[in-house]
Amino acid sequence: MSRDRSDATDQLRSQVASAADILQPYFPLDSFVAVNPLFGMVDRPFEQAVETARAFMSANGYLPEADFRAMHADGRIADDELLASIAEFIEQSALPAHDGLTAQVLRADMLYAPEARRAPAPVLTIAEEVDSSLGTDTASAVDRQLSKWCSAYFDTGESTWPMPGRTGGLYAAWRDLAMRDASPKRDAAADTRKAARRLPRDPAEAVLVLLAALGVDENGREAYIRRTLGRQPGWPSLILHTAEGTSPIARVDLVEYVAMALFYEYEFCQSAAQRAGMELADFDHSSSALVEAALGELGERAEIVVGKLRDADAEADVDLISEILAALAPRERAGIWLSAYERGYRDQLLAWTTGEGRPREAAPDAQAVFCIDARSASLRASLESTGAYETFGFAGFFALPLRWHSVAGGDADASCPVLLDPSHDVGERFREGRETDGMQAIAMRRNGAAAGETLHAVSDDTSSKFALAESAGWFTGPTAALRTLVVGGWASMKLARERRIQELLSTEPVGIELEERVDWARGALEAIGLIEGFAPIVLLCGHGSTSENNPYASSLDCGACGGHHGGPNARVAAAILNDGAVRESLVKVGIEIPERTLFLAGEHDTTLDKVAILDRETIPSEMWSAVERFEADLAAACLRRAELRADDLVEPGGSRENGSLFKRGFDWAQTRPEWGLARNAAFVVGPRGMTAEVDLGDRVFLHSYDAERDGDGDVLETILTAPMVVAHWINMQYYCSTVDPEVFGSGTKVVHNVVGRRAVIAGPNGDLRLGLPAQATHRDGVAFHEPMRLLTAVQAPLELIDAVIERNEILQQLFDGGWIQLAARGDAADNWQIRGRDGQWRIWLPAALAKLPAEDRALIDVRAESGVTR
Amino acid sequence: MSALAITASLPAIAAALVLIGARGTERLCSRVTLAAATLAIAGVVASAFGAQIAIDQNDRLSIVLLAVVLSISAVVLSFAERYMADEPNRRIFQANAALLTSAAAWIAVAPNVATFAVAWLLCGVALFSTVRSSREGGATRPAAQMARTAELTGSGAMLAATALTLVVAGNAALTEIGAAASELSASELALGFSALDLTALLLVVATAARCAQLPLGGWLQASLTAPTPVSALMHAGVVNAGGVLIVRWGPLVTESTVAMSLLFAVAVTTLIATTTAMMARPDVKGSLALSTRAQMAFMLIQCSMGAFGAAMFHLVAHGMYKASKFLGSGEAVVASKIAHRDLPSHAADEGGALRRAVIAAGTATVSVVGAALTIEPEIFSQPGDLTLMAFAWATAAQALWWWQSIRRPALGGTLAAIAAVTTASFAYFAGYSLFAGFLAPALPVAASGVVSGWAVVPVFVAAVAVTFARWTAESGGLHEPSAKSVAGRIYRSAYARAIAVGQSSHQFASRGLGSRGSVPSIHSNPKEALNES
Repeated sequence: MSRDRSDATDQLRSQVASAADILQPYFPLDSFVAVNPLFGMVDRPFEQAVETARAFMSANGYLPEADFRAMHADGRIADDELLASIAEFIEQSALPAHDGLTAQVLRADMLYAPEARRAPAPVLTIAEEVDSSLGTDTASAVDRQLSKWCSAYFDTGESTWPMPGRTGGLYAAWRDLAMRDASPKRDAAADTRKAARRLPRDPAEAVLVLLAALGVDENGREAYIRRTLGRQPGWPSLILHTAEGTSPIARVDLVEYVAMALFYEYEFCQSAAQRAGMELADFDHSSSALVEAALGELGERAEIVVGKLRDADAEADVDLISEILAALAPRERAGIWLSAYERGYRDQLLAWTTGEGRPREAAPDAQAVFCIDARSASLRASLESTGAYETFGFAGFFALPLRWHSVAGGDADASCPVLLDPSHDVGERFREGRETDGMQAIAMRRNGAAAGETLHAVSDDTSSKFALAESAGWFTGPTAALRTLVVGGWASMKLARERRIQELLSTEPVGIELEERVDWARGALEAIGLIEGFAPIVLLCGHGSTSENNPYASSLDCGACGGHHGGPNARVAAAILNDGAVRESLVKVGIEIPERTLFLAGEHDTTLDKVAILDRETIPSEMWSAVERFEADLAAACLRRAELRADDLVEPGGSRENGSLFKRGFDWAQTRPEWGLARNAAFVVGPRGMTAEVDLGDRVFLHSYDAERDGDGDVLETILTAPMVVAHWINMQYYCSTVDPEVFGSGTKVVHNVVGRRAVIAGPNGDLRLGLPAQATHRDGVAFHEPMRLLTAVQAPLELIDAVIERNEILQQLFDGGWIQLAARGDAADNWQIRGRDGQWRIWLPAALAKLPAEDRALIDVRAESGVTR
Repeated sequence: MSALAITASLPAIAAALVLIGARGTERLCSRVTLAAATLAIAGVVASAFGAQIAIDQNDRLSIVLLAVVLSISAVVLSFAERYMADEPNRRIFQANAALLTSAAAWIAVAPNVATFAVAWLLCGVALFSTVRSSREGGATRPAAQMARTAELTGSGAMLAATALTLVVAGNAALTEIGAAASELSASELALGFSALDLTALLLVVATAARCAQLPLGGWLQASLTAPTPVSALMHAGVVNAGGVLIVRWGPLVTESTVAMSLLFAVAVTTLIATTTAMMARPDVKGSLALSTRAQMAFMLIQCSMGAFGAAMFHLVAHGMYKASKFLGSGEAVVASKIAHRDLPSHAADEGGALRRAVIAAGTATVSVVGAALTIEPEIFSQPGDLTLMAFAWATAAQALWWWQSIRRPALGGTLAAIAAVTTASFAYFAGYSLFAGFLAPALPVAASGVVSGWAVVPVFVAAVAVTFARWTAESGGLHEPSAKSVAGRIYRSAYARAIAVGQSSHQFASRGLGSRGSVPSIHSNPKEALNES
């Protein structure tokens, strides 16, 4: 290959890589992890990223303006909140106030201007141009071919006839097949077999040739590829994920995908154009004229505003009104609305947490560390209300990045946030004397798994499938009836089997060296803020969920554990902290754990609302009664949480008994076993006292933190760069899936079709569906999740926070780019301050005050006027 | 109206109440269908124990089919109540699905030619209105169009066949269809073709369309755009009507050699195309849809050989099997996760392949042939039952092979598996024998037109050859041919063809700009909708 050609392909590869900034790696459903779909564009402000997604993916980045206006009408967005956000906009844009006229004009425009509708993508591919001028269907014919090959290539065991030549990579395998594939002839009236034979072996070269043939010039290249990826973002997102993997089949370069896409596009368009007696060059793909037209003319807006303003103001100069309106582009309205929408919750949370809060429990009977997952919030509050208990919030993997090897002997799970690489291989072994029972339990598990796999192998075969259906049907039919009509009975059967296995199975975790154990124990206890005042019982509680027939099951599990149940991490953590040698070494660094203190591992089932205590064998007999009392209170707390959840979960008129919630976890007809993290809104970093007396619902990620013990801000730095980023991903996953359930979300579950055993498509074919299903964000067609950006509230000296932000570019991007809003106060006696996107701190004012012009605000005694009540 | 017809009509009555919008009818369809299913099952039980509760021996097929159709619908409708709780069209779906249930049930209980034809046509109408109305927006419209094309062809053929029969033989009762057949065969049209041949050919076309056979079968895959419960209903209930048609109209089809040969040819072609395509499909529902087409082909092959008892056994069991597979189609992800977690992986060439193969094939031979001969000593004179035995053998051998390969059991586990397969073989033949014996009075006698049982031998041999190839490949003895070799090219051509079966129709809605535009935004505010209207 000549030097020039290799330069050209290198350049192309980097262009493809940068075009992929609109995509995020897709984490398959076996360990689904929430991601911010726009995270590739976190280096620019939120609004700009949303705009890019709109342009290249035809995605909505905000709720429709009509929804915002409806919320204003029904009071969810108070008028003060709208005015406060308008005031903020005026201040940021340095507009003259015109004696309050500016605000009134903008308000009228926000409320009454013609709605900014979803505009068509300003960047179109040639296939899209061809379709819009000829009325053909080439673009989706291209999509179908890509989906067909990608789904076949990335299959992990659904098909029993794998795609030939996969070990050679996607492009090579596809090229060999495309040479012999006659299906495009029927599908798009284009016989592509000969052309496939002429394709270069190097996909990058193929892309260059095809781009030239399509008439895309050097300058338009990156945008063109970005649109090619954004048109059908699912499969390329899977490619981004697998590219990080280790399997040779999985390691696919996006360039290969782009080459396939452009190949079909060129061939199909060429043939469509020929049939219409035209040439490809007749289609111009750089047009973007129709975009702004749809958004309403300035004059029209001014007229509407004049009509809506009160009489006195209406006499104002129409020219002046037009001048004011010119400062607000129609598309910017959504951003102001979003800020007004977020203000209500923010004001509420900050007002509620203003003040000293509850003092720390002096001598608690037990302490419990829960995952920061928002679903822990109500359980913690409920537990605290049942007795003298102190609770903490910490990432549910307990800072142990494990590769967990189950005693069953299958593949290990990476039980840690996807931001980390698992550093410890930890397994479990049977306890002494329990090997025989243990093997029996494992055999039960393996029999179940192997039966399923055997049935699949037998049913997906030429000779054996026929009699299988004839014999298996007599069992599966009645079973289906049982699962549908007698859910409770089915649940008891499942539970009985699981209980039997648990009775037989007794294991202990093994695998971490003493030194590492000590280091970890010290780091974790300091980060939790639990280095003294240990209660007799300390529960480390992970979490997981229960559901059936649910491809999205892992999306309800612990995100900090990489979409797995958190039990193993809690077990390992408790085992280390109960270890005598570890405790001895901890004394040397000043952490004295009393001998009588017992660490318990637990797992909270967020669907069934039960906390299971794990490794009960390790509980010394003298602690039994204390543990039993604690368990009874835990059960009461769970019951309380179940009652709270029933309001949102049970259909009107449906049964509200505890059992009905319980049944959802075992009901194969249930598309919403629980609400998961829907309605998450804030990330609070500080002592529990801040929030202990406030009803937070399951909306807040609570991370324990004590600034006094964190002089140089190391702990805070970890919290903000790791757990907070994960919370932000979750928050944006829910945000995006809510505002555009079809592009960022995966749409309704009822048409989902599991593909390759680890993803879904909708219906018989099409793109891999990203994000959360509509049932996770919407109820009966109406958004249940409130799509607001994360509010982070930290109790720590502002200088310390600034220093941490200074050290981390990602934090600057997140806070200054408007992805996350940061509120902070030095200690409980201080006022909350808000960090602006310019990096300046400003005293937080509730909307009623924030709507006032800046000069009036300065005169107010904030604490007296803000009307803080609890 | 007979008791059977009244029972069959209950879901339709519920549907009518829901459609007129009576309050509190949300759950009416599923409850009424459940009640009707209970009645029908009670009828089967009563009939089986000899009680003559208004059920003639000749009606046994009717009551069995009625019980199957109603029970599957009752389960699917109850499932859908919860599963589709957030879908805007859930009420309409329930009503349509209940209508579809009644239409399918009427086919099962129709007493004569004319009522059968009416029920058949109604079922076709209900079928595509269910597909179309089950989701808002345009997503399912193309699928409904495809279903309509197939249905129009099939319904046209059905109408023509019915008209011919009515003109020549009058509105014959289906229990006395033999007389009509003689009258039709007596009237010769041209070139040695009788009116019977023409009628039979038309009925074969109708059957092929309803059973999603080539070349009319694409609609079944296209209709996967509809929600899961719709698929469960169609695959478990509606497609079976083709088999019911052949059996109910018996001699009108089976006396015609040309029609039976066509049926056999269509079914064999479909079976080969869809089975291979199913093996290549990476998505659960697509795989299930192709599997249904293959299963229907298998049932029609049994029909074309005159093995009506076997065909009905297949129809009933497959209905239950496929309904539960569809309803549980979301399990795949977790099932795969559990398999990866609990089953240690094995190297392909770990050895013992020969031992596993001998155990699998040997056990299958002894237990299946043993069970067949014990329960049905005359089996070698029954080509249909012999076919059943051959395929049961393949299933038993496959099950043992894969169980050993996946589970890697110790000696005790292997023995337990052998015992299980043997028990299953006896249960299978005993069940089949009971079932076929019970239905025998209601089934047509094999007639002159049937295809010889030998014709199925090449199909079976080819199918088993593929199975053996999979065993060899799994144990490392067979590698994928390289793209450069002749074998490799043929292999790739075959794969490219298989992966495209049922996928290449332009009617499919995929998630491009066009189709996304037609899907209504889920967050559209009710107020906004009011303002716009």
